[in-house]
Amino acid sequence: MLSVRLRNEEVFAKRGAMIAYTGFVEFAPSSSGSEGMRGAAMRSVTGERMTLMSARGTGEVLYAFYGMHVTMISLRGETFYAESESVLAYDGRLRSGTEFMGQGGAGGLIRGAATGSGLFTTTLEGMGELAIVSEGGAIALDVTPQRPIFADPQAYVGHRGQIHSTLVTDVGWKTFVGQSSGESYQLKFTGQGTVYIQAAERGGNR
Amino acid sequence: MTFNARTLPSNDNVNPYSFCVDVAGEMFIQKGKMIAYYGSLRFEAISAGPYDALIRQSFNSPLYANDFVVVTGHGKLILGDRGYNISSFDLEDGNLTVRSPNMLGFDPSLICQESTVPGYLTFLGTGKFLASSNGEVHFLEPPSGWTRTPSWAGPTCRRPPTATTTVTCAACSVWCAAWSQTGPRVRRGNSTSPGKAPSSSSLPKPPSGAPPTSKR
Repeated sequence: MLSVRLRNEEVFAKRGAMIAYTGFVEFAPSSSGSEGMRGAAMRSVTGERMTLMSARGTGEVLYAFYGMHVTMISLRGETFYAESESVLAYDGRLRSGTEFMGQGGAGGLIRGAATGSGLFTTTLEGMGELAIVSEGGAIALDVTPQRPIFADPQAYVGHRGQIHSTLVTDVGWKTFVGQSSGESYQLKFTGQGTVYIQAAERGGNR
Repeated sequence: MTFNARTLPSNDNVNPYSFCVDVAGEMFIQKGKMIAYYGSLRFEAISAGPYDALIRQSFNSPLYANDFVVVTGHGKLILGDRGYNISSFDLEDGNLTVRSPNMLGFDPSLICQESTVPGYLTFLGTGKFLASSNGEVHFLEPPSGWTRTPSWAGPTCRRPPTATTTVTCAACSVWCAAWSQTGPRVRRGNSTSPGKAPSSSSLPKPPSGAPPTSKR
């Protein structure tokens, strides 16, 4: 559960995630978060939807989402890349946006299609706080040029830093005759930064 | 707290819901439970071929052959299962039965067999295994007159789907099965996972006198 204390400030959160509040807080639907008309258009085109709600005023607001764990991340001018469904709330000072993740040409396209995460990802940028939800808490893992990390696309929550992700597959004829290893798709993160993963696979059989 | 390959725990919980295994050699894991890894690891289907000898020796459960894979190589492997709690257990020359979806991984030094109880796997030998549970594992003392089969443990421990912290099927059947047949030879292997797992000294002792398969 996340508690936000507002002093005449604004916070954006997943719509429907507010569970209680005290004080004088006004809630308003916000289709675009802090990204303006262009951003909203971008989102509706790309399908990277984040249905948000803004809370503005003075008071305390509690947010929660299906009993999932909340991890706070503070940004100091960097950009955080997140799966839109993992974003619970963020500071009104952060700028949100959508980024095309299919840069890797055909590989990037396959990645989006194969992992179900789509071709676009949500970005949050600036100075401020961000809350992400995950099953069992987000685990932060360092990536350095010497030590890349491999992650299950379904367990990936977000990342920050200068990180490049590529899809590694061991898809072959075995996959098609039902002999796959079950870990056919992995995301390989290279570069310098931090990757956040959760202890569960999204869209799994819960 | 940010982890890297050096600071990740070795063969211990990262948090109650994820577990980091130092892979050096081979290990069986349930398909799809890898959430991340450092190093160079390969995931090979049980029936893929290259590990036939290994599988012949330790995987005698054709029904579940498609649910497990062999991990090989060197690296740090992080496992997670639906946000469930994960615990590691040491089996010492023992015998134990687990609900198959809750069995996350095991050493090839253990022998995996299908249990007589549908949906369960039985493990024989000495080695480590990882099991998940929705909530913490509870250890139960079997009723004193109970000596015969462990089969009641599975069905009666079915919990209502909304309960999150009741006895887990896996743990309960693990314990009863292990106790009934080989005495207290299972212990909790990991240190950081919370819970009130008894140490091996405080585990319930089998009733003295009665042989394992006598009167009920």
